[in-house]
Amino acid sequence: MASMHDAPTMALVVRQDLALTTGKIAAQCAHAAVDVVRAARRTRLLERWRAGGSRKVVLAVEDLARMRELHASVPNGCYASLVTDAGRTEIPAGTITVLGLMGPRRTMDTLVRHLESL
Amino acid sequence: MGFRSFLHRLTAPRPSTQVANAPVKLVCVVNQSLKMGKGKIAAQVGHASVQAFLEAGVSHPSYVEMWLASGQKKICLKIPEDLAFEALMDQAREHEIPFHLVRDAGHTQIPKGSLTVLALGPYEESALDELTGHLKLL
Repeated sequence: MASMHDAPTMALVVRQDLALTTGKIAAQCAHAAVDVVRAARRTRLLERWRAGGSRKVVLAVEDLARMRELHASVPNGCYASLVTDAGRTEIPAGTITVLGLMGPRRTMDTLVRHLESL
Repeated sequence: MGFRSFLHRLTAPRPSTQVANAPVKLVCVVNQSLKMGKGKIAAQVGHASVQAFLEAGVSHPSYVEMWLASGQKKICLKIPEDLAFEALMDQAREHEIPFHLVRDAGHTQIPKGSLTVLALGPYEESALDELTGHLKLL
């Protein structure tokens, strides 16, 4: 079992400019989490993530432009997935809400160091 | 097939033979008594969804396939305290609805072992509505 200190990390980065409700944020984060797990399926990283306690952090990003910047800077060896809302509630269809990321702990800590937790 | 997958297939529970032919969703029920922040709730609901999705992928594969294909519909509800989880799980067992209860590891905000979120599904909407129709939206 991987120790807590080097276990891979999942980060769920939520857009703050949309002012979503708690329930909506939770549902969109769940969507991002499932998508990232699917993106990383059959990898050693995913196995280690699960064995190491499925560490995840939920963070806030100011707006879509910042989220795209972050998405573009995801290094090799990490997995990313953008969630686009189906628009059944609260916001228009096609709105990008959450960016899901998974990678080795140190890489992820560096990548999201500038973001505040939600 | 790799050795691990082979072993896994041997030891995995037999998949449900029920076939999904109606709209499918995932329901996450959040324990309100813990007063978790919204980031904490999001992480716990994310955890519940990933576990429910992976476990149901083994026990109820046709529902999971349909859930993924139809846009992963999910809904977040709340209960005032964790006592109600037990009744919901009993009903889920009775109807062979897959579920996953999250017990927090206690690294942040709340005591270790707290019951935070119950995920029910992915399963037929109508069956889930019977179980959870009385609960309020988060």
